[in-house]
Amino acid sequence: MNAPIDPLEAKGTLEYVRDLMQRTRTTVEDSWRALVRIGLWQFLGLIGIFVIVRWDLDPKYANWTWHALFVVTVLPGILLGRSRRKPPTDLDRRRSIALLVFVLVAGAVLFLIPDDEGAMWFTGDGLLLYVPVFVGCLCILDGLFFGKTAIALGAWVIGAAVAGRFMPLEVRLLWMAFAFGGTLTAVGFVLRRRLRTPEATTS
Amino acid sequence: VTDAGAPLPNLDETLHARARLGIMTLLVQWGKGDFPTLKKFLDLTDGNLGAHIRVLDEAGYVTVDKTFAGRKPKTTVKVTAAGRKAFQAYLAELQRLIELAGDKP
Repeated sequence: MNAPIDPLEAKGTLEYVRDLMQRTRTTVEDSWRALVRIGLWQFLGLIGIFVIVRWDLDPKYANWTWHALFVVTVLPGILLGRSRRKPPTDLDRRRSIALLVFVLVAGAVLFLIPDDEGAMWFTGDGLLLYVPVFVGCLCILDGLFFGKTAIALGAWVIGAAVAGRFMPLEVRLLWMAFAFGGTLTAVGFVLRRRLRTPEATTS
Repeated sequence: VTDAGAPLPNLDETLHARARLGIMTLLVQWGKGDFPTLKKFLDLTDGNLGAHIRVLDEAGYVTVDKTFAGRKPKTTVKVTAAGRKAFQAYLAELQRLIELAGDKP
């Protein structure tokens, strides 16, 4: 249990540990910064949706608001995120999936909440496309940091929304409810399966 | 203690290997880490890293969780309370040795 060592070696070993600690500490901080940024974009996006809908802004303004939010919050984030090429940890991946699920749930809830007159908020043709495309873009942007699962999810959400554009309204609403509800169910199922998978024999 | 190369009473040999010390340093920072990330940061081969993790596992310093991500096997290594304690004790002992030698750590 005891190891021979001289003071010089001890000093070198201590320096090695300190250097490694410094590098890993930076990585953890970077991951947190990326997560905070992603959370912030999504929060701002949801505020944007709320403002547009609550005060019944003209779709033209809605369009501008969304694009402004995108440029102001997302572009600097992409540039910063891409300049840090350090791998995210497993924990970060799980947190990002949790964020994606949150955004999808929030999007789904916004579809279902009625306004003062009892009508659903998102009945306009343009807004029916805005929300899922925006959420899908956020998923893809998450994928820049956390891998291709998030990119595939974002692409599917956008694809489903664009496909719905060519359907009659009643069919479209049903399609979107099933497509996004199905996506949520699938994400939940995958997460549950991952948590319960049997032990592997190799690394 | 004063002779160079003489055994020290409390220096843990399990942690003394550079690779194992590196693994513990990362895990103490992160709580846990997956196999590819540890490999990348420590610049070790699969076999080498696996062997060192096994030694740490046998000493009770880490736990190893093997799962599948889809069809891909995935190994996650987590530091235990005993592992953290041993790591801190090892660093303290190194510091003590340097101080005994009259050097500044």
